[in-house]
Amino acid sequence: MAWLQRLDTGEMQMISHSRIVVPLADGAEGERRMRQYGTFSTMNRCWNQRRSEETIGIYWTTLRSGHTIIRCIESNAVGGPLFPTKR
Amino acid sequence: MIRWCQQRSGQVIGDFGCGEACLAQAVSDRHTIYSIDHVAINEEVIACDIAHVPLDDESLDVAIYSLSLMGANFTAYVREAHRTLKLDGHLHIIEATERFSNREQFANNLEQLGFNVIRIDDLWKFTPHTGHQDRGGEGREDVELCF
Repeated sequence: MAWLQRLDTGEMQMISHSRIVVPLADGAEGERRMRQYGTFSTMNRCWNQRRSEETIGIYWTTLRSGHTIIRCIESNAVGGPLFPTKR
Repeated sequence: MIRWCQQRSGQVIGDFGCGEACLAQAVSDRHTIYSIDHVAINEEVIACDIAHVPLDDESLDVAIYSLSLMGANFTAYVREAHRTLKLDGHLHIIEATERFSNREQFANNLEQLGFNVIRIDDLWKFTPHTGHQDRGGEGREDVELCF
């Protein structure tokens, strides 16, 4: 919690820096990363559009099958939107 | 919320949608913290549907929803706060300001769910709503929160 203590003591510094842009990799490497990680926006949208009992049902089913939940892609199919990646 | 909790002690707090359970890490020496989320990041976190948490009625002094009103049924999460909070227990909802299209309507709906809204703040890019559980105003079943 050092960051919180620094706020309390007023120890703050303002810095300016150029915008950091990390381009998505092209080709096979890019596809591999999309498969493995998906996109935060899509995952966020899935969470917001689905009811919690459905979301958590998918989580538990996925975890019980020995996968980690990494990827969520756009789909309205019940039980379909989460694509797990093998541990 | 960490700072708010650090200024108090002896409360029973539900952190709904706790994520990495940072609140418990910071203030569990001062309070009893129930960290709750759909997925447990460690053994201290209760993994469950936060629309149906395994806590007794009127067991909490404080219910916190920090960037956790996600899901088509998030009104049900807040109904759980009404069920699990003691009379006059504190409700804290912190969401990104940009999510709110009509925060007065959001506050009105919270009142209809059985809370007495006491503060709406502007805190950098976030809008915290603070309220009390008001048993006199039982939550209406037909009310749905919307941003």
